[in-house]
Amino acid sequence: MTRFILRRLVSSIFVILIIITASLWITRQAPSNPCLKERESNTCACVKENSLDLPVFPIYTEIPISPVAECQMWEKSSGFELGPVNVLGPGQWGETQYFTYVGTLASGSLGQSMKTDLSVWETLSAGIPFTFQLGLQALFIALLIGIPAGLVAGLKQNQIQDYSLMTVAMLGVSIPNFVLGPVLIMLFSLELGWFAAVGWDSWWDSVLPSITLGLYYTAYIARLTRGGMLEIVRQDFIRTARAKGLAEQVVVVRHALKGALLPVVSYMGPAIAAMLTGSVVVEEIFGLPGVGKEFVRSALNRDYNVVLGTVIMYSSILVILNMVVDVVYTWLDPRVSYD
Amino acid sequence: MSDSKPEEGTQLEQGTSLWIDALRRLRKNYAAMAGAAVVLFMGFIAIGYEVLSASVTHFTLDEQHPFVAPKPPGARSVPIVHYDLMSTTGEWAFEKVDANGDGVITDREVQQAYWRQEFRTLDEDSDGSLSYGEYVRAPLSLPPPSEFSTDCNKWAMVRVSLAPIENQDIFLCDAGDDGRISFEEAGKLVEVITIGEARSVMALKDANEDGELTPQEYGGFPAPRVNLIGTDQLGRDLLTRLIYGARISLAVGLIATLVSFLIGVTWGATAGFVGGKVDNLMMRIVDIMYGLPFMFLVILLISVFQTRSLFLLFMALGAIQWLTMARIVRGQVISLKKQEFVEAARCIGTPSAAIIFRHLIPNALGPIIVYSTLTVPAVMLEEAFLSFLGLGVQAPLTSWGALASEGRQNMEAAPWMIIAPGLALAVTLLSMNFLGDGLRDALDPQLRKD
Repeated sequence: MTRFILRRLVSSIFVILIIITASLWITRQAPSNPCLKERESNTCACVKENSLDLPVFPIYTEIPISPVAECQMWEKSSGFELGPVNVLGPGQWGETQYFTYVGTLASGSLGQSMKTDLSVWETLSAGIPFTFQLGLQALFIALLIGIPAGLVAGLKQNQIQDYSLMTVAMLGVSIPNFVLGPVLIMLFSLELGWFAAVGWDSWWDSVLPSITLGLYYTAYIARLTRGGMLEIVRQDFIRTARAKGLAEQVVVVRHALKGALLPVVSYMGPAIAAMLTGSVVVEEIFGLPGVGKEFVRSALNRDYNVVLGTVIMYSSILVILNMVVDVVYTWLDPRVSYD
Repeated sequence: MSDSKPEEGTQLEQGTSLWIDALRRLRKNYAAMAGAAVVLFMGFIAIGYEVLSASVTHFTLDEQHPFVAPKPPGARSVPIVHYDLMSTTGEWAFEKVDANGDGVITDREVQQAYWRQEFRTLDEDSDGSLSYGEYVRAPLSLPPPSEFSTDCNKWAMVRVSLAPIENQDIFLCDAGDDGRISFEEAGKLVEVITIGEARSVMALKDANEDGELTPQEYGGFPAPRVNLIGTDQLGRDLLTRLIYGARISLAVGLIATLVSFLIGVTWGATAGFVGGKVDNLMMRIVDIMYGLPFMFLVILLISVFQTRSLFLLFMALGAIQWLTMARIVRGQVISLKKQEFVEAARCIGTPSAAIIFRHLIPNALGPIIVYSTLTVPAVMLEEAFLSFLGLGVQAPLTSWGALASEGRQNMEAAPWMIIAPGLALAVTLLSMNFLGDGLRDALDPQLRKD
């Protein structure tokens, strides 16, 4: 197991490096850049400050962005030293945007926001409590409601409980959260006045956004649990457990539940990935100052470092979570081993 | 993590009867059949936008009828593009429209004529005035408040927000205090067109462009048409936009699914067929990509490039959906490639590519079709999600997600703007999910959990 975790850690670092490379490439390929909207005197300073005048990758030495060329003309009359150039000499490999950025990351920092004076971490940490609380609560709703609902449906297969629960679940996976959110606001905030329509002043106000984010996953997990349960109750070891006279409760909780949860556990990785994405919309609808909102704002603003920081943070969370999921999987299903 | 089961071999031996058998099972599944009917209906609507816009809704996608607020369902606007002419007799005779009798029709007179006609429509008992009941039942077209007295303005705003209407509020405009509103009192309350629109209506007929219509030029004006489910904040007919949105949403769903289908089937079939280290590597890539915040890369890609082309959208959405398809196809191919017919094909020297595409994939088609059916709603949801954030389909095109986004911004004043596209999306996605589930149960009875 230790070997497995170590191997996964090494491959995770590679995965995150690939993501960093891809997102850095995407941002630097964009037809615009963070310095374009500044005044001219600031533009070149901004270019210099964010090392946008450096080549992006060692093998890709062209500088695609527009103010750099002007800045190289402009530099002669000013104090700025811009450069180097489009061609890298020997020993200059460290002086690319890619290596500079990876170097910053290696020193344990996410870098500086390109648009404000804050560091990327300061920018993100303002939104993290909102996003994480939202995500965790949605996850709790999904697991606490989804799993029991799926169990009931699976045990009462083809009975009224099964049909009604699965119809509700089908509705749940079909209503987009950006439709559900406004409808909930119209009903419970504007009509009934139970919750704040915008913002998040107390825990109470987080109920509506959490439900909005969590409903889809509740429904999906209920469907998965039902499927897993139906498969497992036909297995021999369940028949054996029943045959030796165990109480139904013991059979379900001690024997069947573990196996029925396998599909749910393997869905956790993608579910959390999708939840982090979904929170972008939920934050938008409920006017919450979370990470997702910051991400979209920064992407439209071309604050590359904040964008890259968000992507790196989320990918790291996901890669670690996927590893945890794999470990939990071996514990739940003794047949699976990673060696 | 192969999903293959040993029993799948027996299923194959059913040969040609498999599809007929599946169809029979599908027919018995009423939820799936209803889903299929709804999906077909939406498809026809999407294809028939041009026809529907010309002959059912009478408005086009981007025809604006500027008012300060969105009009509620049942309000009327005057179509400019797809118009049918009013009769030129009776109330619409030249003499009647030419109110001051100077022999030419001006824009003011056009506007007045429409007001009068709208008032007559509201006045159900034709007594020349509106009672409270007639007023509340009428889905009034809203005038701009600037042309209004303060009290009547308040009246209109109450009507807009659909708040409970108090009797005394309604009759603030009742200057005569007799409980009924005459045409003069109602004044511009029954306005259906602005002066600008009156000018563009006139321009349809005004050959010499002098801003006046002579009896020779006059040939009737466009008949006002009902906005069946209201208008959006720019006065565009919501139903027409919803129909056009169906076209974009379904097209994105289908094309992106096709992209994911092509990538996923090729990738999965190759991995499964070649096996060994190649399989290991290819599926490891899929495993890794499965856990990535892919949507973030798509948001990043679309927001930094700002091209917002539909093509990029298709590709980006298709590119994130192929992973599960690849896994399914690989599992199928691994269990199929040990079958005798594959060995026979190999014995007669069939090249690998031909074995994959001619023999393996057609036999794995059942699960592929099922998963594709379930991918379409997933992709539509993602497109709507991106459009909702303002990163998807751009004006003048529209999609259900873009309409929902506009609806959310106006949801207090105009709840119909979010309810209509939301309902369309939910119903379509629900139908597709039912259809997909039904297809799965029909094509793969062993997977069916009962």
